[in-house]
Amino acid sequence: MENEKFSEFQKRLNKLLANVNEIILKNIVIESEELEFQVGREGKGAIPSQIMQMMRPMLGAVKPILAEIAWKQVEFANPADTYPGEIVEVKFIRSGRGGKVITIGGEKVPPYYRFEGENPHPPVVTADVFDIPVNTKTRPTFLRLAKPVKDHLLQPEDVTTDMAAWAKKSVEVFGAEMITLHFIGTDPTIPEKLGGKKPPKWAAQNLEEVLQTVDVPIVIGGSGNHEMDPKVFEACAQVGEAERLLLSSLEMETYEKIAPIAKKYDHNVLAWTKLELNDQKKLNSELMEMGIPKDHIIIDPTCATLGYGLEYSFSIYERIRLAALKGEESLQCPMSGGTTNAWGAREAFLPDRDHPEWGPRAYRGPLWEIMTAYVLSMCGLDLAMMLHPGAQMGFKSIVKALTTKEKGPTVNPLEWITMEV
Amino acid sequence: MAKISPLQVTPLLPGTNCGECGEETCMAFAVKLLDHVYTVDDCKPLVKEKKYAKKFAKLKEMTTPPIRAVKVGVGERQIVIGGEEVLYRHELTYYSPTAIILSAPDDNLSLIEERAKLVRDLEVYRIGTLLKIQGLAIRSKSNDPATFAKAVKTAIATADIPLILCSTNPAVLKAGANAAKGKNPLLYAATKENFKEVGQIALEHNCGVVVYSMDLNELASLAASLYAAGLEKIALDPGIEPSDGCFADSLDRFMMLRKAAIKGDKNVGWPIVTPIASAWIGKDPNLSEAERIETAFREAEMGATFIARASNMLILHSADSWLLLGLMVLRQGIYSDPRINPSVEAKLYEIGNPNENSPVFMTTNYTMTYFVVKDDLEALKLDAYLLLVDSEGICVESAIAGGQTKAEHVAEAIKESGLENKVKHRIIIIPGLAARISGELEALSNWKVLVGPRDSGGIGAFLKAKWDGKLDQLMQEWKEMQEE
Repeated sequence: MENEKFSEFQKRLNKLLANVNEIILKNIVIESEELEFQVGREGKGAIPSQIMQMMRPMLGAVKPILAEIAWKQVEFANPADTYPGEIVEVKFIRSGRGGKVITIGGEKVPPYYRFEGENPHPPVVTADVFDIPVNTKTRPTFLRLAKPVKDHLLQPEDVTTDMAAWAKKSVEVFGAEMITLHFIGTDPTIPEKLGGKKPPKWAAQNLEEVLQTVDVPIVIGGSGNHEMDPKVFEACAQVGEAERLLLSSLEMETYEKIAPIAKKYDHNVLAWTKLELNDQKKLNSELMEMGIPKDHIIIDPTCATLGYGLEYSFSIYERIRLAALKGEESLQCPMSGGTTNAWGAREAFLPDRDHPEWGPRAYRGPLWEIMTAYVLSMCGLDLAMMLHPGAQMGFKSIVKALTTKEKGPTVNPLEWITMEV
Repeated sequence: MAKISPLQVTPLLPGTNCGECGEETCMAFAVKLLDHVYTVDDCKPLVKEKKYAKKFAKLKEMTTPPIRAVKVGVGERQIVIGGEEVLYRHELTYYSPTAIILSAPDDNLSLIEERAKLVRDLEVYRIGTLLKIQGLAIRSKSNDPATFAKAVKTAIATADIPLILCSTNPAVLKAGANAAKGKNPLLYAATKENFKEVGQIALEHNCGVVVYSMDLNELASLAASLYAAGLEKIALDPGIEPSDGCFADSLDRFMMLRKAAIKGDKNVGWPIVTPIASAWIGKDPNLSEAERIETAFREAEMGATFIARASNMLILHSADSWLLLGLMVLRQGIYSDPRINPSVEAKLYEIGNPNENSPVFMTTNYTMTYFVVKDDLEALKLDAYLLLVDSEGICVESAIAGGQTKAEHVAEAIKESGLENKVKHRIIIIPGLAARISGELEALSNWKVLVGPRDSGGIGAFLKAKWDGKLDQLMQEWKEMQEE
């Protein structure tokens, strides 16, 4: 019955349309799930592409059977920019025979922008060594390190009671290019029984031992105590007079005391500000005015951790580096960051039993530190202050992938569709 | 839209201040339009009335972002990829978070089902937000249309999630698109060899298509060809190689595309899709656990690269939870709005209904710190006071190390909060990461300081050991402290 009606309708429609060339429909709404336009695939019947463009708003729900899609050749122009500014090179030097020299900085384009130019030095890792034992089983301590970190340091034997042994293992076993000696034990506010209240002389003695044990450049880390840091730096600067150390760190409140020490013994300084670009400009300018050469200054705009403000560091590092490349002279220094902070993130240090859904800490811990360091290196971090040996290796591995001139095996990227794994 | 001002937009609006959009004036609408609160289509008179047709078209063109937005999937889980306007996050903000897509081969239906469920169900609660995985890529390992269609149907039967249909064989993609009718999948990939057929399938199903080439002239031409044929949903894959040096070239291609698009090259003004699953090409299915983890780390690092550079879609092979967690947390940060201050008001907060014997906790006023601690306290169903001390919006560890939060600031905050009238005791619990100020704080505030756990997740256990039923004893210690 329905079919009969429809064929009757069709007949009448055909009759009506017999002598019609063109129909204009006005104010018509077509509601349908599918609507097919039968038009030729080629030649006369095909819809020209200009018409297709015009019909586009109408064709939201329509499925046209189209003419063959034609190749439209266009040219892609390399959008590379040029940059008037340049980052200075900073050297960390070990004196004597076989003493290593590490150079960072010298960038002419943003990190890993090989399409815009070549940067001379990949980022470098300096490995943390602390002056406070970390084995909570043998004695109380101020310093609590996450288990994945301790596992590397307490096995097969505990190297954390001796800075030279710790440094040696970091260089020889874990491949550290530089060592940071953190003298947090010199903080007079940390109780003696937890490893605090150590004198500056003690820091200098430790430095001396480390210098005799390893041949990589050294960073001197203070405790952050404004009264004690200048004394610790003075003692170490003197012992390391033949070297070019990095004094880490000075800030707005302490630079007037620390900069003259660096100048006197020709060491580098780490200028630390707190996520504030203008403060960094000001501090750097002050240092240069005091006679610290630009190539003796490292910037640390503060490294916040993945999940806990990394994005603020990300944008500050990026703004600093881009401003420097565009010509802001006070910011044309290499950058550093304490990526060890990553271990302060609960996602990095909490044991598996607390959050089984996060996966093994043995992987997420190092991943947290790698990501923190690596993502900042994409914004200009040149010197990563790192803790976990596996994280150091992971970081170096991805940095190498982006900076080496020797290519690994090439693959057809589309093969991920059909690969066996 | 970064460079357009509301003054350029206002003349293109009706100017009637009709209020239909919810704003009192057209000027107010213009401001919010540029802020991505509205789209041009939200001005109803402009869309409906014929006399505004020219203005509508002009405004639409003016506000189309240099990276056009493409929708994938339907319904609640539909995603928008693209829509970005700037190269660097700090220049404005990034808008559409990188879609994280899992993958599974079409010849393994149980894995398809498992992954579809994971995409459907995985939720990580973090700082007031649920982090999720966006969709599933089904890859035609079999290269067989029937097998592929079956896999697509299995995924659809399991979860209503965005799907990426992956093959270079048009017959396979056609079978997949038919099986995903009405689901607005994304086809991957159109190449120089198959673009005519794949383009037809995309037109027929009105779905998006990813064009692929490692040659950027060819890639731009592919996109231009499909656009000229009427396709409006296009994405680009410049080929992602994982190995040393080759990965650097891949990132170069990615950055060149993005930079050119932001500078106005319309041929490449499309979202970019980065299948970092390519880290696994050539790997033995039976590889050792150590090698598997090493490859997963490389994949995670590749993922971090592209999230940091605002890729619009990652397609992963790994589904390890530690790796997904890292990538989701990174994405949450990078896509947070840099124009918004990360601190909350530094003051005394009440958790539950605290009374004069309730514990008092202190932490810093960094947004994330506050949310984490508040959530943990609430999860314990505690009645407590939470004192936020101004740390200039940074976390406890940095604030203590950096001196933004010193003992004197905490002592001051205790005084100003009026806590001494609210509780009978004089015990304050500070974060484990602030341990070093405990001595000084006791001296300055005349409160007894308990050093809490390093992580607020440990507060429950901490209270059991150090607080519950011990208030009298603690106050006794406080009195002794006074005598000293």
